[in-house]
Amino acid sequence: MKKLFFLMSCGLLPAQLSAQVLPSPSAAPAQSSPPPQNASGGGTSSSGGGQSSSQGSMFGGVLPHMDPGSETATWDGKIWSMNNNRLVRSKFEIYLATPEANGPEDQAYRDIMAQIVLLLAPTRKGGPDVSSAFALLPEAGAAKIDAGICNTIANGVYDVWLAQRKVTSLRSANDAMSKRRKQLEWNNEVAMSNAELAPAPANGGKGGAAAGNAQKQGTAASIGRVSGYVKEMAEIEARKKLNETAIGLSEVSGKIQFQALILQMFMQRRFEHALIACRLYPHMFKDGDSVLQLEDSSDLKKAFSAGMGVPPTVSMVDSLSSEAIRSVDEAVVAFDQLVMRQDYQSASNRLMEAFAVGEYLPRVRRLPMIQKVKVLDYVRDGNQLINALEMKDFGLAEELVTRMRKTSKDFDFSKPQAAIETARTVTDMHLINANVAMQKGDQVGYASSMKSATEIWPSNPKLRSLSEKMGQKSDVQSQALMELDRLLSQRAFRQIFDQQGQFFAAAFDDPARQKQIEKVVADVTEVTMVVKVAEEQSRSGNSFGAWEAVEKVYTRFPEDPEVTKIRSDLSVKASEYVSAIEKAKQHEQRKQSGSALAWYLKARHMYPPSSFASTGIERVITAVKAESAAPSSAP
Amino acid sequence: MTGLTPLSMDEYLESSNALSGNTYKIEGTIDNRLDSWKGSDRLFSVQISEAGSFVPVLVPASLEANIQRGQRYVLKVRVLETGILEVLQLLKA
Repeated sequence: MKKLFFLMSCGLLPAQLSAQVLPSPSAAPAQSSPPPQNASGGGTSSSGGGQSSSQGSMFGGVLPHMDPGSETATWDGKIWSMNNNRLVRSKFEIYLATPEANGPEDQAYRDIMAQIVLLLAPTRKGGPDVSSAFALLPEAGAAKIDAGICNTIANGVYDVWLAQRKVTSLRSANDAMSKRRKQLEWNNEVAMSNAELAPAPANGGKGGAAAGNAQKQGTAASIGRVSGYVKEMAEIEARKKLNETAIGLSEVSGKIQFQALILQMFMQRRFEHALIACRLYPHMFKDGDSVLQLEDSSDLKKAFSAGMGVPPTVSMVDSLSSEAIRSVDEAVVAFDQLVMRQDYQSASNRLMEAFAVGEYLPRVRRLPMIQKVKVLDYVRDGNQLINALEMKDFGLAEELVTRMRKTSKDFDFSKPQAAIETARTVTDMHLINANVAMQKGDQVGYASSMKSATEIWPSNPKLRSLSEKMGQKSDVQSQALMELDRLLSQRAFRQIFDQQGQFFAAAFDDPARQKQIEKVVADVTEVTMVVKVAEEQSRSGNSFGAWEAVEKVYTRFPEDPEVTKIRSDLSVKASEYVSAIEKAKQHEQRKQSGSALAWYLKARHMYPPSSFASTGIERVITAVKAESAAPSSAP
Repeated sequence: MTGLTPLSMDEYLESSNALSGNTYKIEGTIDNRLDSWKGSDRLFSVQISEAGSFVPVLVPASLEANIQRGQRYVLKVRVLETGILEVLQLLKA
């Protein structure tokens, strides 16, 4: 389990560098859209959060840790969602849509890689054949899929050999210097002993003094030679030390470089190359030490020491690589079985896991296209569902959920369905409020409810239909008000009266216009009553009275067609009376008081209740009185 | 009242002011009191003919005559500037 966690964490790290970062490590691993949605990932468990924190601490948080329960990876204090990730989704989709790599070039490459592994196998008859394996590396490195990694391994091996040749040269040099030193030591000893064996000078006489001088000179020369020998020996020793230091450094640096190469390939999920490098390693560094040379202060060293309690070795990398290859094979087998059962959710998850770890392994790359396309549409629908939920397009999300339920038997639709239903319910509530506000004419309430509904589900079709309805209503209302204003300006009160219901509805929020409509309705009602009464009077023979009543209304509403019509009819029926009144008015205007009075009197004689005649007579008399009083009051 | 010209109702109805200053004779029935005039002058309407022609006549206070409604009179009238007929003399018919 721990190995699996480590494998998947390391394997996924390079691919997740630009992964989607989730809000907070302390919160439950949240997706980008509420509620947590991960259709293609099949997030059925929320219990992984607790496990992730405890297991993350197992590695001290220094390595990426993946939590299968919540399908997240935690690293450096951040949480990435493994499936709800655009980069991962797109890479996986590309993989599903790519035909299997079983062409001749790919087959040739696989054969070479298999041959290299066999040549390096410790169980091979006759032992591993490193030279032959090395010779095949450039050929494998020429394949496109290899990306030149086999060449990198070959270069690494060659560098190690070069370093080892240098080491051999340095050792040879040291041997030579050691021999020379021994010779110098011998020379030194001889020089020292010659000085001791020189004959002592004789006492007295000239011969004794010369001999003494010669002895002194000989001793000085010996001392000079000895010092030279000592100096040379010191130089040799220094040089030997330097060479030994260089030998040590060369050995260590070569080992470190090759170990770094092994780790690099492992981290890049090039497990086959990591295996080859691990199996080349003992043939290049025959000291039997395969411990990875990591700095004591490095996080990786601490992680291995803390997690496993042993220092990491090349063999460990070898076994982890083999384990990765095996787990990928198993995942692909599980995928095949799940596809047969039409459990596309689980099948896509297993395949994604296999792809995440073993993208470059033959089992993954050679998976038949016919198997992959079975989940391709499902995966695409899942990715589209994630996007739809992120963008709050719940209509599309519902379509996708329906389709995915039909496609896959094990699709967990509970989370997306819950999100859709919640959005629908809350939006409907806001739309109901908006409708009520619209009916009441509450513009502010309508706008607020529509805004709330739009924020939840921007592409809701009911939103559009309600907006159109409001637009139509506004359009009808504005047109009705314009019509009302036009009719008022034309004093077409009868038409306003006939359409009063429509105008009242349009002016429901306009008190001023409502008052105008009410006045028009009252006036037209009065006029209608007068007209009815006049018609009745006319029928009963009182045309004069009918005419008078209509005439009074006519002065106020000359545009009313009903009034105009009946006035015209009555003018004919009561023509004599009408004529008398008209003439009286004309004479009155011309200040023909006598004539005016005569006509008014005549009219009154025809129709004694005539108010026109009575008021006319009074007006004329008043005017005459005033006229006759004016001269008398003048000074 | 001989020698007086009878008032032409057509002319009067056509334009009473045009006859102002003239003296005419009219014969008709007192119809109604129209109004009290200035001072104690009285204004009556007199029906000239059965067809319904009426003329306004002003009875000055100086005549000091009892005017009865419905009584037929022969009147000597002068047309005032206003077109109203001022009674100069009246006789019961």
